[in-house]
Amino acid sequence: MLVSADPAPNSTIGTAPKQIKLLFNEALQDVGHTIALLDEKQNKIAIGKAMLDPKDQAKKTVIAEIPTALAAGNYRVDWKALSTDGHTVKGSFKFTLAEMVEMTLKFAFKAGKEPVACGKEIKNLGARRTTAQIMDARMYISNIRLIGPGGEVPFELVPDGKWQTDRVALLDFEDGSAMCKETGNADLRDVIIGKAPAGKYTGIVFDLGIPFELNHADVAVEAAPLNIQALWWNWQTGYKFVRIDLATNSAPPNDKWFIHLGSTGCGMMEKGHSSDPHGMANKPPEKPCNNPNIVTVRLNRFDPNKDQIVADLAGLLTNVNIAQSTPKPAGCMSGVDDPDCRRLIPNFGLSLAKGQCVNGCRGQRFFRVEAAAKP
Amino acid sequence: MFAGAPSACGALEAHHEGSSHTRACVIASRFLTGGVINALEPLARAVLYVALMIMVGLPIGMAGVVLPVFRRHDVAAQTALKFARRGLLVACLATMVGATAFFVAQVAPLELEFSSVAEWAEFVQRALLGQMWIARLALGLVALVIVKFGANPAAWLAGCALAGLATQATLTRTSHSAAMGEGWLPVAADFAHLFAGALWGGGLIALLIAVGGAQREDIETTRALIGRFAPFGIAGVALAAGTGIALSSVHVADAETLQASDYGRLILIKVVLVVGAVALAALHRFVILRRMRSQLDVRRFRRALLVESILVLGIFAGAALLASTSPPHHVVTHQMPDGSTHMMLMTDPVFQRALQIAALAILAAGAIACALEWRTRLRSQTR
Repeated sequence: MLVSADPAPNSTIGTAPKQIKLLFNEALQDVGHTIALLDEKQNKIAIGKAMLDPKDQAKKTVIAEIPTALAAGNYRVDWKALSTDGHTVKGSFKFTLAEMVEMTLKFAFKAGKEPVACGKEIKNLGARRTTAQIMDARMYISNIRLIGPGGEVPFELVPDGKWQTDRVALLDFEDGSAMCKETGNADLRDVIIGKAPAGKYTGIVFDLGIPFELNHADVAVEAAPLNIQALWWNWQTGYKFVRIDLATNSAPPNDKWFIHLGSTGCGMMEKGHSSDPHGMANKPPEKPCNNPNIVTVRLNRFDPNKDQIVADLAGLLTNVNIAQSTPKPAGCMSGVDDPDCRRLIPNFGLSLAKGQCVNGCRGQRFFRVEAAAKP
Repeated sequence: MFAGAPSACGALEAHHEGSSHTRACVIASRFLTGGVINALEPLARAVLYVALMIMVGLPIGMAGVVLPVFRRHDVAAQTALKFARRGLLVACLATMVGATAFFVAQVAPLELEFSSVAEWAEFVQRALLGQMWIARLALGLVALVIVKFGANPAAWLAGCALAGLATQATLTRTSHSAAMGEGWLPVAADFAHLFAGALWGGGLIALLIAVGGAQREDIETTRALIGRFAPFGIAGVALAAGTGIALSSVHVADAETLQASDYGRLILIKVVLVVGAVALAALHRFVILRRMRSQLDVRRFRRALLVESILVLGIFAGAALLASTSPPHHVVTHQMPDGSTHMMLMTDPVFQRALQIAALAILAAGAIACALEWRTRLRSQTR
């Protein structure tokens, strides 16, 4: 059975693929596989011979190189593979290579209608209408797709060496002033720049978080924006997808409330918490995290040319009591057994117990769409 | 051009439209790639399974049940050995024919085109299914020579059983369990499942040869044969059922899949056939054996044994269909930091645990029943 393919079946891509890669659920024989690539007129395009991917020791991946750059258009892949059990599996799928145009997605950080910034008091936050101000406000966004008449198309990030790689973008709403001085910096970032097929779009889907394969890296050697120590826990747990630190007007020890969303249950280290009895802190996990805590946000009625996406702190803190926090840690650090997470995590649209979207994360209260302010 | 049937036929059709040569080729092409090919694989598998059941189980049944009983009751074994030898020769030939049909059935859907015999030979050499085909042919031939020309019955029975076991191992190498790459345990269970089926089915055939062809209507010998076969039969059935259930826990995700998928439904059909055969075996052991007083009873037993053997053949046909059907695996993938893809089989842990416990319970019950049968047999011998 074909598990996945690159290019993905029925996908629209912006960059000409250099190879076709098919992943199966069973081990394959050394020979007997075929991959054919056809253009819109059903003409066969010359590609390399289908062969097992030498990088996949499990022998479950077949690849075929595409030696020439493909032109924009619709393509079909016909494939056959010979499984170890002797069965031939075959199939066919289409993908579209589109011409891409540059676009800018605008974001804003607000509490209700009020913009949020360092040094500015925010009133009526959470269940107890607490007054607070931010000490940090940053988040990672990935896997962005725009919704058009034909379905979802990819929004390919343009790497800039600072705010975006080709897979992950950072939004930064703190400017290092006032109480943001401790962990923040002067730069601000409220846009994501990328490319998408030219067309009219009516919605957007993106992940608040970092894909698993990129989440467990060494922050000391990673390229920006994945090199920020303040947004990283350790190799096992990975990055803080969202970091919003609040200073409240409550008396100590309830004067701080942190929102750190990230994956948990990622390996042996967490069994012993910070004591790391297995010495795993400096290794990536060996299997996917139990609680990925990646929020898939789907916003309909979004026009990238006219609208902006608002990260609404007031919405996120709906019914959350930030006037008090159970000590160690103050606020929610994504722990399954952290009482402060009980009301917060569902506002991301996630299940606290499983760390996965409930009903496609449709219940999330953090992001909404509003008309962008005219420049 | 040395080509796969469809393209070769296409070329022929273009040049010789309507000729008998073309028609024959088209028929062959349809046979190799159309609907018939779907039936060819389970058919070839069934031939292989039954042939291997005989190659492995019949020698064990002869050496472990029939010959010792005949020796004790002073019954001449030549006739039984003659039948057994013929049966084994047919099984060895059937193994080679089945292996070749199996290879054709598996290669044809690939619709590969070879420009030369050397290219085809390279494919056979490099593809696992080609390697296994050659191995099965070689093992079948070795067994055939041993059985045909072996002078000492113990030697040719053992040689044939060993060649059969090795051939069963080649089937395990190309099984669903091996392809899914989930470690050695499912592969070992698969091999044990094949062996257990052979122990049971082949033992029944040995019994049929003994009470049918060779030892007609001798009540005491027949009773002794049934008594001696009982622990073998129980061991075979328990091991087959236990490993079968354990394999179901690997390949079937949950109870819903068991009912909703072709694979699951074939398992349920197999279970019904096994229950029927086991009920019949229990009838032999606990009713017919105790009531066996006359030659008429021996004839009745022979008929019942024939029915049980036919049921076992049905089980093997079900197994062949099952192995030719893709298991309904539910897979979830994750990209890993090193660029590889981590695959997880999604299963219902309660369902899995229930099946695993059932498998262990059946294996344990089989071991206990086996031990009790041996004890009963030993006591009766002492008396």
